[in-house]
Amino acid sequence: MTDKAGSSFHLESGERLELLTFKVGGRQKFGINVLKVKEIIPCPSLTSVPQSHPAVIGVTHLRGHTLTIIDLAQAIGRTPLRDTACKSSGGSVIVTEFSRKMQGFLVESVDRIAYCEWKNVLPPPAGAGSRSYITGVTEIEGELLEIIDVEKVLGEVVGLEASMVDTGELSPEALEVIKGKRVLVVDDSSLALNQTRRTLEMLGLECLTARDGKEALDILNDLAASGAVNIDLVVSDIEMPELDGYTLTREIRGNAALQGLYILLHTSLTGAINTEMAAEAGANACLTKFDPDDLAKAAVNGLS
Amino acid sequence: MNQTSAAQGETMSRWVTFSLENETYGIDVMQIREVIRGAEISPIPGAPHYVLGIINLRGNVVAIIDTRSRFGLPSREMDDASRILILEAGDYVVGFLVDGVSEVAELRNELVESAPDTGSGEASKFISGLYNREEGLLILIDANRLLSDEELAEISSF
Repeated sequence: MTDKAGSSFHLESGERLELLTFKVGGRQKFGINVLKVKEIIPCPSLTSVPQSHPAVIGVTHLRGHTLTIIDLAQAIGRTPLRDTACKSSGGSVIVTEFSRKMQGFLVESVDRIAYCEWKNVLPPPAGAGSRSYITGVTEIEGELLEIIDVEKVLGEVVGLEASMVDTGELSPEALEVIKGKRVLVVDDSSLALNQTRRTLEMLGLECLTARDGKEALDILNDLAASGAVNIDLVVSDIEMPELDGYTLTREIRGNAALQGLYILLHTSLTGAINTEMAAEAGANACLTKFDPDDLAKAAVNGLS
Repeated sequence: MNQTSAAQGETMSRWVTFSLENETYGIDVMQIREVIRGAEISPIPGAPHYVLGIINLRGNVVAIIDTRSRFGLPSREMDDASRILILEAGDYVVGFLVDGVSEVAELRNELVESAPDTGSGEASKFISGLYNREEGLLILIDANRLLSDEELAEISSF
């Protein structure tokens, strides 16, 4: 699947994935990227807020922040945990930070941290439907582990950030220059993929989409082989099954026919480490999801 | 010592706290005209579902809102602890039935936290913030947003 140049990178941390595994009732184990997790706490005392989304079980105060707690089981269509996990104790709340937001997810039990590699994470099978709540599947010690699409869960529960761009902030000349240019948008979360696409299309850009790094690389390699690379910008997520964003970037940089591409890595994780690793892999810029104005500026900047 | 520093540099505000189901809420004293004991509420046939009825408040007819229904909570019979908060919302005077009124709390404005995102959009826009106290979180309510303009217009026709 990977060529020689790629295999040496497997030792680098960018390709490793640490998953916090947990259960939400039943035997199936689920996982969430450790980089999205801030801490794990026992089910705290909750204040219920009137007119909340049904999956929101309340808010709590944690070290100076108010935190919305979401019943993860209920949010993904399983039997709600709130009455069992919270009352008989034993339930845990995974406190997370991603997409510029902090929130807690109630789960039945937290298991452990498992290590794997992105190339061993497979996208959900086509039969699972595009509306499933998983972004990938992997095997840990003979057991199937499903990685939850927490962006999708959060988007459905607390609502989508608007993907509207304030085009008034951008100069008309700049918009004229980028008009009709083609962008490849890569993201394993259908929600993030659509958000990004909508924003870029609002700028007058034409978008192609891919669900993971491998699909993106196949598209680009086909274009390179045909000798007509009609794409100017790649906007890619970092954490993706099969081929992650860093590896995708390195693969693109290793192909002479794809030299002109501007690569923008787009992650839901917060932190300076991503910027450094993105630069090291050869990306032109790195951005935290999801701010339509920032994305628009970065895209205009990359295409001008 | 805390009190001295509070008096010097911080702005305080006073909130009437009331209870509904198991939670405690606060509403700015400036938005409350008075608090009365559960009076005889006369139901109005055909009124919106969130309107319990009307009372005669010293010669003025005031509509009483079922706050539980407004907040999406199960309804409950009135008892001795029940109170009606007479609020001034815009140009109208409206009553809100609550389970009980506890106290007037002094809150430090700088510690009021913005309302958390609990995914309800319009339905919960009357929540203006949260305040963490030893007794637990206090949910702060903006009386002006408890009813929409259409609802106020509907009620004012009684």
